[in-house]
Amino acid sequence: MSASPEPQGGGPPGGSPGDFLKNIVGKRVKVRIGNGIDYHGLLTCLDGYMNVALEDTEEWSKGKVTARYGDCFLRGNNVLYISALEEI
Amino acid sequence: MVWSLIVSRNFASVLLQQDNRLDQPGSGSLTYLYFEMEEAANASISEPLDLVKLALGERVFIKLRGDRTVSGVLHAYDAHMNLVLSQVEEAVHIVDVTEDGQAMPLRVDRRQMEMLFVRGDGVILISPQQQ
Amino acid sequence: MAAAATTILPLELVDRCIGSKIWVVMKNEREFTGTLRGFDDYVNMVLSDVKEYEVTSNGVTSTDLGETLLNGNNIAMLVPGGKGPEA
Repeated sequence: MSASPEPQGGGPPGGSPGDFLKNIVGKRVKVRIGNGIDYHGLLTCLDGYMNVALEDTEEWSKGKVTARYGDCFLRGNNVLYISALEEI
Repeated sequence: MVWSLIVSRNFASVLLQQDNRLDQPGSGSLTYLYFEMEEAANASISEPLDLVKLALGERVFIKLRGDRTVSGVLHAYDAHMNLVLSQVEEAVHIVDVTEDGQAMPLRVDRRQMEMLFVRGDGVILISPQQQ
Repeated sequence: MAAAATTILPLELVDRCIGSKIWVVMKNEREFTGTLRGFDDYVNMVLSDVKEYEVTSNGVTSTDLGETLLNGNNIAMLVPGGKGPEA
């Protein structure tokens, strides 16, 4: 029986990626994709592939807003990280 | 019917002759979702792919790897984000470099296609087009 | 298959880092430090009090982030302790 890498304690509650995903829906987030472009928006939902749906999205590149999207879908393989812009 | 296949990694576009009708059952792995539009209209978004489902039949803007953007009417998608679009305009954003290494102003190459299949692994972003 | 008593799985080391600072080096020029909150089989990581670093030949630029889910796909190395590239 091999040990599961999923932390079973030690860390505070809500520590695992799964818990993070549950708690972050509905919050404002910054999603950075591989090439350094950021998407700031309200996180509508996401799935296990890190596919993301955002509302009221701003696309940021080199410190400037380069586009706005009412709704937008980001394919998960491009996602570098999802970071909360507010307390979760 | 002429199809274009975007191969995302090497940015090559391969033109294919394709006689299959879109609505023919069993023509490849794409799930065709033409008739789910009414269903989608009153469905809420519970997973990210629902957003794509809600955009079926509408004009969408798509960002692809390799500094490409595409806009067209979304006809079908699957879990890989393979897409079928019609009335497509593709834009390729190019920065030319002179012989001494100076970057020229951004150039945009545009072209139109009647019907297009986009391979899912090139997709970065999909957004219903506001206009 | 049972692991021998002496073997330590690599991810056990990561598990021991939960609650403390960690330094994450990506496959590209990007690095992160933060407090490790958790991780999964793919070594996707949840970090808090995050600093993101871009390490180039011109130096290091850093950005502060809040609670962050980092995609494990592009992680190259993990360093317990998390001093970061500026230390």
